[in-house]
Amino acid sequence: MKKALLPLLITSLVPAAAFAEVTVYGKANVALQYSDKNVGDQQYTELVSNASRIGLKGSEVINDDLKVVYQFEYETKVDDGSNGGQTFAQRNIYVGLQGSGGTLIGGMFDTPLKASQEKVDLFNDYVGDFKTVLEGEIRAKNVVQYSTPAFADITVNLAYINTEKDVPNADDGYSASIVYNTKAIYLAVAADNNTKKASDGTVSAVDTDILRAVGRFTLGPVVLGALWENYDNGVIDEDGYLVSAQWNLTDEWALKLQTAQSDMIQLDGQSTSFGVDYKMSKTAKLFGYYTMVEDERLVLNTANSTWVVDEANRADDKYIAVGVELNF
Amino acid sequence: MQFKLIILSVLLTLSSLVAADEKKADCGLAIDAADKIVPDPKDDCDYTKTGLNGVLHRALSSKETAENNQPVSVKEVDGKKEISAAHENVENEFSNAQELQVVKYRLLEKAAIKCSKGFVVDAELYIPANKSMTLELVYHCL
Repeated sequence: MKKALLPLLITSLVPAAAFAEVTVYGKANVALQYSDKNVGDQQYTELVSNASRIGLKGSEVINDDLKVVYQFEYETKVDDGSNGGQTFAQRNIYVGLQGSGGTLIGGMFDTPLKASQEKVDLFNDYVGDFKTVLEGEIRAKNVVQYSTPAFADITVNLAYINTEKDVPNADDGYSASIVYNTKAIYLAVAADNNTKKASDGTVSAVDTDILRAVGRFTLGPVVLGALWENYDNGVIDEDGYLVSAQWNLTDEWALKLQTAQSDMIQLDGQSTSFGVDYKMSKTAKLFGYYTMVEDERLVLNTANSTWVVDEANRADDKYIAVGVELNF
Repeated sequence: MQFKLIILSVLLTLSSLVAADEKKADCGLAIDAADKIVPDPKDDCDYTKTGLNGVLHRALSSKETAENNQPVSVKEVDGKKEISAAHENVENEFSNAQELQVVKYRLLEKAAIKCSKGFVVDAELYIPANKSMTLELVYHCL
């Protein structure tokens, strides 16, 4: 039997005994997308890779109550092979300890606030991802996080983001979440303070605070999701929301609908998506979506010193796509 | 306010009861577990036989077999031979019916090599091992 090159390459590098507790995983997601963008009045088709990635995760048992846990995950562009010139871009990477007292990890990974969205964003990693409308989607650097064991399905996550500077107004960041998670109900409350600034090493005299509440409810074949958020960066103090619904028509077919709106990123920013999934197997699916992204950003009319909608640069974009996803 | 607290308490109690009655569902995809960031301490899902991870584990199992170069050991007890794999070798491990057939055939094949005139299987030993089982055959040549 002819063996694939990748398994041979990996197995030649990793001792057999050490590989016992390692899991290799990944996702390949590619879609043919038609984009109709307001800026420049552009219409074109493109092949997009939606957060395709490959990773390793595992653990090393130290004793009955302690093990070392780790994860190394990298994004790869299935469409054109280039992540800003790199073949692989770092995603969530950490190493840490896990025992009966909880989990302590350090590295670069999604903040507790970002992770609190769970699966309410039905178009996560697609052009309809709510990150175009709502703040807080941060994969922070230099993070140390402690997570409690689950008590009555409730977990608390506390993260500290090191800015790695000792200069005025270069503040470290914090992110925390309380999560209640069962198969039928998911509830979370999360908060961030200066996470993006600390992660980027930004010097600023003004703190940025985000508060988020998330709920996901499974009612038979229907899954309802909702997210509310408040963002305060010392200049603006805005609320935003997302609501989503998935209807599993059969074991194979699912319909999805989602809308998100806020003024956090752009004035009257809004993203609405419709989608359909066809599950070919446990690991593979075909999907399609239609997404509208809009805003009413303003520009100063110097002629009469009034603010008017910037018709040339605002978002009034539409996307339609079909694609395939394989999880392995 | 008190009414809202009562409703919230009832909802939380009901949901925890539902969760308590829920049996552990089939393990989800490894990538979904990875997206949670913090690994679930109670997650005992075995991905060694699925997807790319399964291919790599099978490739490494073959590599370990070649490294050990001890596919089977044969010992004689009361005139009967017992054929089994070496302790570190997983050649006779199985975790489903299909693998059991493959393992049994492999062991029978090796006994046939050693008994040119045929053999009789006196016993099949099924021994639990972690999340699988191992099979050992006790036989004598004709």
